[in-house]
Amino acid sequence: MVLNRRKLEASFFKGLMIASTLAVVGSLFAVFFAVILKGAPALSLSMITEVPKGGYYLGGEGGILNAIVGSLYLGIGATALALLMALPVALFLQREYIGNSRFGRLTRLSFDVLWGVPSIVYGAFGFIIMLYLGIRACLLGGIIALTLLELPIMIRAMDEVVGMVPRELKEASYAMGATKLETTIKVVCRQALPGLLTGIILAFGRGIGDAASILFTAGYTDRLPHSLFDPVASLPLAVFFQIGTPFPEVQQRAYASAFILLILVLIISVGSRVLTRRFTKYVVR
Amino acid sequence: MRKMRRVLSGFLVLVFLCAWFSGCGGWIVEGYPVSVYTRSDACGAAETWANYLGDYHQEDLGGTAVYGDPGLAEAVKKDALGIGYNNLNYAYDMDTGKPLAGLSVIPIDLNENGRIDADEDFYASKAELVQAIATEHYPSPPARDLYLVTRDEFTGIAREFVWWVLTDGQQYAGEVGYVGLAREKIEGELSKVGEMQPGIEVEGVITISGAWALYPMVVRWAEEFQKLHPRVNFDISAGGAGKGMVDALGGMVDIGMVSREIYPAEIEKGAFKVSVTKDAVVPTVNENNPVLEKLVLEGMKRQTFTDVWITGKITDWEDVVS
Amino acid sequence: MRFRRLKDLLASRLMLAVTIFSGLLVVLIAGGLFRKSSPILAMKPLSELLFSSSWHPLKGEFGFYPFIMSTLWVTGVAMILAIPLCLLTSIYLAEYAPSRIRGIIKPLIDLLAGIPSVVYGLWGILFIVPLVRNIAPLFGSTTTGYNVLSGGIVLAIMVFPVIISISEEVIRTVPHEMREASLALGATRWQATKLVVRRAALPGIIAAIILGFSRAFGETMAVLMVVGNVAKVPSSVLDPAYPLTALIANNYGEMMSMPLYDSALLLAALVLLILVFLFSVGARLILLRVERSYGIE
Repeated sequence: MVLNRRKLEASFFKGLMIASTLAVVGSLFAVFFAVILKGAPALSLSMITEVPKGGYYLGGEGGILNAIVGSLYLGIGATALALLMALPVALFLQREYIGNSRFGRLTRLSFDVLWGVPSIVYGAFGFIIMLYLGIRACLLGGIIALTLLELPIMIRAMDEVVGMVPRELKEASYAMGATKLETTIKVVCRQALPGLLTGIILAFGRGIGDAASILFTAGYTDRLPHSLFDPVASLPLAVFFQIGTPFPEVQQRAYASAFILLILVLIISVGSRVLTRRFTKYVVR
Repeated sequence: MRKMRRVLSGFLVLVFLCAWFSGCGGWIVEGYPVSVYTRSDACGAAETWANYLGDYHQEDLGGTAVYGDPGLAEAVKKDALGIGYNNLNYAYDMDTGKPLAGLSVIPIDLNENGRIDADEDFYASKAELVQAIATEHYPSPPARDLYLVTRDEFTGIAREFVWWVLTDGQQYAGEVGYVGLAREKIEGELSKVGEMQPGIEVEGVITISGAWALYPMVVRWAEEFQKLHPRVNFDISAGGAGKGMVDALGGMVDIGMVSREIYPAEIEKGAFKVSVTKDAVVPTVNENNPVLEKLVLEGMKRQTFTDVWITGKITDWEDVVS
Repeated sequence: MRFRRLKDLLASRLMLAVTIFSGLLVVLIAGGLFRKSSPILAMKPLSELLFSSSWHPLKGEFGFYPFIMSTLWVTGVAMILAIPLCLLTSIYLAEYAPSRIRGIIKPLIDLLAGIPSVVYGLWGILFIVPLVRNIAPLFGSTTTGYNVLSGGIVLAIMVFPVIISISEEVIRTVPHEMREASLALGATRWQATKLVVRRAALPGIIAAIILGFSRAFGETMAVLMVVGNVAKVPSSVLDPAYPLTALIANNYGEMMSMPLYDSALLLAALVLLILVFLFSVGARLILLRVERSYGIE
């Protein structure tokens, strides 16, 4: 009797689990396919190779090359800047430096807070800085806001990975007379490389898709930026502006732009997986 | 065994409740409640509409707030009981000149006699409406001047552009769906801009941002201006009248597009405006509205609009018409 | 040798400097926001700002209460929807799914974690808003579809990949001994799973949920497109709401236009920052508690 009840419970929950998995995967796919279906008709080669010509937002010709290039500039710039700061910090948070000290825990707490800060707050803060420095909405402003957004994401991901490097490995290195720095660079980084790359890619993906932080700070333009102080278009904002016109053809282009953004993120994700697998050969099992 | 019975009976109760609710649901909802929509982003359309209803502002307008002009139009298109408002260029189809598929424009009963007379009936096509605005048959507000704004004063090539807009640019207004300014008005605005200096190199970039309302017009003007001065480039983005103001006053752009009146606080910060054209905000409903026939015949009075959007006294479509 | 020691020292100092700078960022941001909100803080008592429901900036009334409550409502609904679904899915993926299925679904979910928020917003308007609008009459009320529920659903879907990827990982890395011990004692597989999850994986799962909550809390664009943006405290999930993040994004345009408005909006940003801070501290404490009582290596 009791066994039957337990079996019933087990199969009930198994059914529930499968149902919920289907619900989760199904809804995520629904989002993906909705964008593809709505955007595919407007997708064309000129969309990704041309900048908007006059009247593009009224139904005229051109494409969103400005937004694609702009997003890439913003994303790469911000990720590079964030990497410059995140890697040293993540390495410094190891046990042998400040890991579990009060300072370490406080720092980790501050990064937790930064991680949870809404991107619009970074946009607002970026705006304040720009007013203070007297610069207009431009590539630099967008990069600053995005770096702030990506930094905690990268630090958290890298911190996780670096923490998983087995202690024995590091101790073996020290036993052979290496300094902390040498161990960190030659042993820890190598071991954690796949994870570090994943962290970088994760942050990049998040940054390139964010609209709130660059809404006030990056500006918008129909041309390709030629300097750090030029305003720069971005894919999320391009989607917004195209959806904001009274023309259905242009609104359809908004979905196509969203699709392009998705493809970009997907390429990066898949690419990172491939790269990770490549670099795993350096990892000691 | 007992537990299984308990689980089963709980399940049956749940099924029963669901069935009961889905059955009852249809009877509980009565009448035709009005679904009020307004704009969530700080914009000229909302401000102008509120100004029309009385001494009100955007923040006084009730209803579900949707982002952007097309967003509002979409919301009303999808909700048979919806009511909203749009800049006229977003309520009418740009190509056909008729109201957008799915939308119907509510005639305003200007003389408040309970029906739409022949001289109040100009909503069938954009051209008719624009004409009515030009001849001032459509009241102002919700018709309004559209402004180009900058901080302190226009300089350089921006100034050239504004001058051109006020002179040769005016001829394009009608085509795009806007009302050109009257002659005396133009002269007044030109004197504000100041005398043009001859011999300026017209090349470089002009950055513009702001109201959705002005966007189609400014894009067209930029196009025509570029034909005359090929070395000038434009960066134009829409984001609402408010964004245009913030960007202009913050020095982020050369010209801000603003579709509402300027506040004293903005003038203090150096806002300098020039009227460049006119358009209007129009109230909209879904074309499947239950009382549409009566609505089109009788129109709506200003007080009714106020009771829908501000005081909330009218909540059912049956109360809107006679 | 000395040279290597020197490099080591320099590197340590450099890393310390960068870490201190990054750690101080929070303080910098808080300070900057505080400075910019001081005008309104000077003019209005804090209790009014935080607890008044009256938001009429032109009349000088700035009550943030509806926005704070909206933020909590929407995030709450999102978590109520997300937690059971994510738990069940991660348990399935970690314990029950055949490895081929796992191999397909897990990377898929990770891939889908990269969908940008504007896309979710668009999709929400297309599908969720009409869905909620049509289902509501079944439960006895009407709604435009732009409400807390729609916002919560969209946010929940955004948060799925975050929670699932971590929870699944955590459950999988629990050592076999626990499961095998309970199976050996005659438990069903499900009972063994329950034990493993409740005891060993709990801290990790809670951490995942906290991460998901943070993400839902901080989302701006997707939510503002579907939530209704009405400045009133929601009294049911079918009421529209106006989270703090949407407030800032929508009204950025009014910043220069009314006295005190720019400092009001930056105060909203500061309130968000403080809420995140309180939440992070609280989350860490909860985690410590859980780790201590279920202390399994």
